[in-house]
Amino acid sequence: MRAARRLSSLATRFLFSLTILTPPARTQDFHPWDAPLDDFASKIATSLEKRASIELTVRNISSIDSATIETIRRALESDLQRRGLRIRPAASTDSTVEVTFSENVREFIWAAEIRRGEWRHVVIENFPRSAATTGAPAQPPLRLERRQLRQQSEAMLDFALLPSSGSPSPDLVVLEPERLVVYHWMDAAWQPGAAVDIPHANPWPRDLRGELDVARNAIILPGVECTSQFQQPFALQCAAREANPGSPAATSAPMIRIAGRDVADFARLRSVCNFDSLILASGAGDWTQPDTLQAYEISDSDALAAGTPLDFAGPILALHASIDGASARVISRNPQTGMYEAAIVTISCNR
Amino acid sequence: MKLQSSRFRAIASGLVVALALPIGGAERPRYGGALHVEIGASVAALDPGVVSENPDEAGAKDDLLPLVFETLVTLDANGALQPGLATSWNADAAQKTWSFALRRGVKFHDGSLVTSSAVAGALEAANPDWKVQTGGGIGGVLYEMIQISTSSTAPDLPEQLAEIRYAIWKRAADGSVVGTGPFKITTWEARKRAVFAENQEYWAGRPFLDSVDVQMGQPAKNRAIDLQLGKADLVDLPPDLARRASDDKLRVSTTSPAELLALVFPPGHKATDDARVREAVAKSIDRAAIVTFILQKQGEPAASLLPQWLSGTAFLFAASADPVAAHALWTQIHAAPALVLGYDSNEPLEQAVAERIAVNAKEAGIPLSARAIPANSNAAPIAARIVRARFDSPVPRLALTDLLANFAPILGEDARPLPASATSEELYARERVALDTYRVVPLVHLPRIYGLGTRVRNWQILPGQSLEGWRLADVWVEEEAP
Repeated sequence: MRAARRLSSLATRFLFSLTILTPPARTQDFHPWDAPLDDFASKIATSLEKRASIELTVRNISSIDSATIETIRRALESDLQRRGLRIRPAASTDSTVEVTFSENVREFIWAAEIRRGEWRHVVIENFPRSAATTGAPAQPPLRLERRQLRQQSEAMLDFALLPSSGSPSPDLVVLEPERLVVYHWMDAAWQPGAAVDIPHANPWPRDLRGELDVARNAIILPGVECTSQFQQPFALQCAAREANPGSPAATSAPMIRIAGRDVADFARLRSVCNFDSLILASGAGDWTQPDTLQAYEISDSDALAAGTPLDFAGPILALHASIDGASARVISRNPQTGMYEAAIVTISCNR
Repeated sequence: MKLQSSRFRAIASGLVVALALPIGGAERPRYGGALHVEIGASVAALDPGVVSENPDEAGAKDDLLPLVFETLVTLDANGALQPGLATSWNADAAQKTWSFALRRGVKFHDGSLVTSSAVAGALEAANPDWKVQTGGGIGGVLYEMIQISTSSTAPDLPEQLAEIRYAIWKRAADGSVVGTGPFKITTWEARKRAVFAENQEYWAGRPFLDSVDVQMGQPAKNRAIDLQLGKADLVDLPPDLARRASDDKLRVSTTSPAELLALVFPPGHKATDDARVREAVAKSIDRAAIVTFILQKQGEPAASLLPQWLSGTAFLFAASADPVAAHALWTQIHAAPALVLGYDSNEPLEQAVAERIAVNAKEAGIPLSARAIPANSNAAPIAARIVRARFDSPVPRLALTDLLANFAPILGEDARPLPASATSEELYARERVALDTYRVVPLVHLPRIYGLGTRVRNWQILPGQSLEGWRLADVWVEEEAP
């Protein structure tokens, strides 16, 4: 009974933490390219005479989307005009400035080829690439909604949002292959707090799976189970366990059959949007491909896709249902950025 | 009833959408099985400390080395540093001394632990200019440490250490070279065959494959046929066969350009010491035709030393031919002699390109003929020759520095090392200066091309990792049909 009450309490705390988490604050006027753009405009302006009339052309051969390029182009025009340059059609100028937005594997490269008659001068501005953000609308009859919580270069196996003792925002607990880390939401970012190493005698399997069992304050890993106070994981008590799900000698996990294939990784959700038995499952490609998260309604013999899938840039590596079955914790890896991404996926009903 | 009906339609439409979608994602990998590989090159020894002069052998070696050997750090798809055998690193304020904490518990394939002295030995052998010291302890925790000191500022020393030439190895008791990587060498028949078995003790988890069996020195046509018949899972392909394999719906994996094919005019030749001669030949070359007809579109016309993915500034160099300007230049030269363009007699690709250049030159009125010459010959009548140069690093400054060093005998002072703080603008300027002499004339940037069998999964070479060789630890194979 005490255990049941404790579970219920933890579940409530967990739900509470999900609802109060606010998305990271965004400052409307700040763009990552503001400083490089200013430097770029300065380099162009100092290569030309004051109050020169120029024809400005822009082309984009980078991965920046066209809408963003248009915003940058307008900002560049304003900046050049602020510096005294006059932007005119070709016929009324004696100088041309041909701007190319380019990139290499590490940086954005913005180049301006400035020509006046036979004279040619090139100025270049470079700055580190930052991940582009995209959002995809979902479709009826139910909608999968993703809320990305964190991305990091280190592998993540699982995560949990838990109430914080000293803050209205919850803490984020992240299980990595080698450690458990607590992050606190401060200054519109997750700030690392306590961390503790996870002891293991043997190398982990390559296809490592791990799970945070919030109800039991437990970490489940291949061959090891540890317990800890997640918000203050200064010490772990670990003990060997038999199952070793990621190893070659893995015991068979429960499977569900979808579109002719047996799927081991799925999250079972509660009844929602008039669907009685829903699961979420990822695709069937490999780690090099984009992935999808699809809701299925499970009947006696079939799994019928419900709604449209949610696209992920890279493979979904971990999928765990929340305690109340209302959402799923998803860890994926974005091959473009190389980052592991932790997101909570919830279902909304379309009316 | 209405609800039921609309719900049925919704489910049905969802099902159609799901079935129509390409299946992506994250199926659980399978452990076990052998990957059968066939390559054209023949590798004499898999030793990170030995440099291969033959570009094909060097390329194949670069592909195979990461199976067995690892570096302190690696570069991810964005060229960002990631921990390897070192878990953390930092530099002093002058960026002349770098400290690396070594990953604990990593073992060489002979079972011995990776120690700081073993790491120091490997790095000092790779770069005798570095002073490498050993030590231990960060904040009371015992970590094996090494400290690398350089004579000048080295802000990108960690990026350098990601190159496979700085792999960590040691000599085992039997004299063989052992590494720490996901696979161990179990059979090595020089220039013929190598078998690599999975390293059960691999610190990052044993690879999915049980073994990798590499047949070397296989003719290109045999490789393509074996791929088609399912006898080989992974083969390297020349451009013409890659195109055919694509047409036959076989899986073809093409990397970002990893190599430069260029024309060089060595100094000391009476005719080509006149810059107008070199410029005229350079302007006559139709690079787009070389890529289209000889490389079957498996490459990029190159007017710059570094490819676009690596520098981001290749577009600033014009690659188009200008036979009219070439002819005009040539007519300014009095008593210009006939020119001979040399190519490696063992390289069919170089021969085809050289012959194409000769045709272009003739169209511009330049008497140039292609002739086979022994590799590395500097025979006097040769005015120019075709050379190949591999890119060693995805970091533009390091790649350009290495490339310029390759061309040092031809470029002289223009090949001097770039300062560690060089910006993209400075890299571009140096490249421009080097190319404006027309001593080195870029022709094409060549990718590496591989054919893949249907059962191969998780094969991936991302742009930032195009130069790192094969990452077979994550590759797995589907079970063969009974």
